[in-house]
Amino acid sequence: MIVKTLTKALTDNAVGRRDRPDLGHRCAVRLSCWRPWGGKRYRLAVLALFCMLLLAGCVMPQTMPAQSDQGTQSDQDAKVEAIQTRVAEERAQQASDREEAMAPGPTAEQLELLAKLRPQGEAPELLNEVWLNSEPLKLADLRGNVVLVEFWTYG
Amino acid sequence: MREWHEKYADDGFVIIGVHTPEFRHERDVKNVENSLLRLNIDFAVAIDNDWKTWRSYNNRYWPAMYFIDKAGQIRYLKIGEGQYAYSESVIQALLAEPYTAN
Repeated sequence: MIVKTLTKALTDNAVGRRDRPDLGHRCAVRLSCWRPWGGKRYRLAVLALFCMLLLAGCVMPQTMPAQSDQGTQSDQDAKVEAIQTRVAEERAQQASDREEAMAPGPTAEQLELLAKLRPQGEAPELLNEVWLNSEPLKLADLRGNVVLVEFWTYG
Repeated sequence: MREWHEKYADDGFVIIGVHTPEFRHERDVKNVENSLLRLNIDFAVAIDNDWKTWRSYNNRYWPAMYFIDKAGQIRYLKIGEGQYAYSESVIQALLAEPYTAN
């Protein structure tokens, strides 16, 4: 009953009947046949209802797409997959960044120092058979490593 | 030295201590072993009791450090103690130097 009356009132408004400017008043008049309270309170109630309908109209379009987003399982799977792919890509990028940081190549200062450190001839091979802390080592097997040979005595 | 070993071993840095004795009691490998324990040294140590490696290096001093690059060339010789910061920068530079095996 109320809905019907409201719809009529709204339609009246939509087609542009300007003889009654106040929509709340028009609703109140149309509903006056069965109003249980005083006219003023009733008009307020109708206005409040109208405002709520407006508010609902504003909120609904925002919530609806969110609900439809959660829609199908395959949509969700696709999203999860996309996120996983992105995470994997980022991890790979980080790993390669780390590798670059580990082997950055000489800095300008190091290049200057290296230029000063002229090769003084091939290091003679180690000729010892008795070793501590290690199997016997040969320099020939250590190419690619930087080696520090220190002659020392514990005494 | 021990510090360098811990710091750069993973980057391809190898320390080799060549123990060349000066006095008779230093020839005892047991004594050398004990001193390694005492000094907490865990890098490789060659026992050069017959002075073979000492002679092949034509070395004359204790301590003497030979810094050898990735291609096996001696690049820097440090005799005596001190200048550790410079020596460490030499290690870092040699480690950063590109190397292609032939």
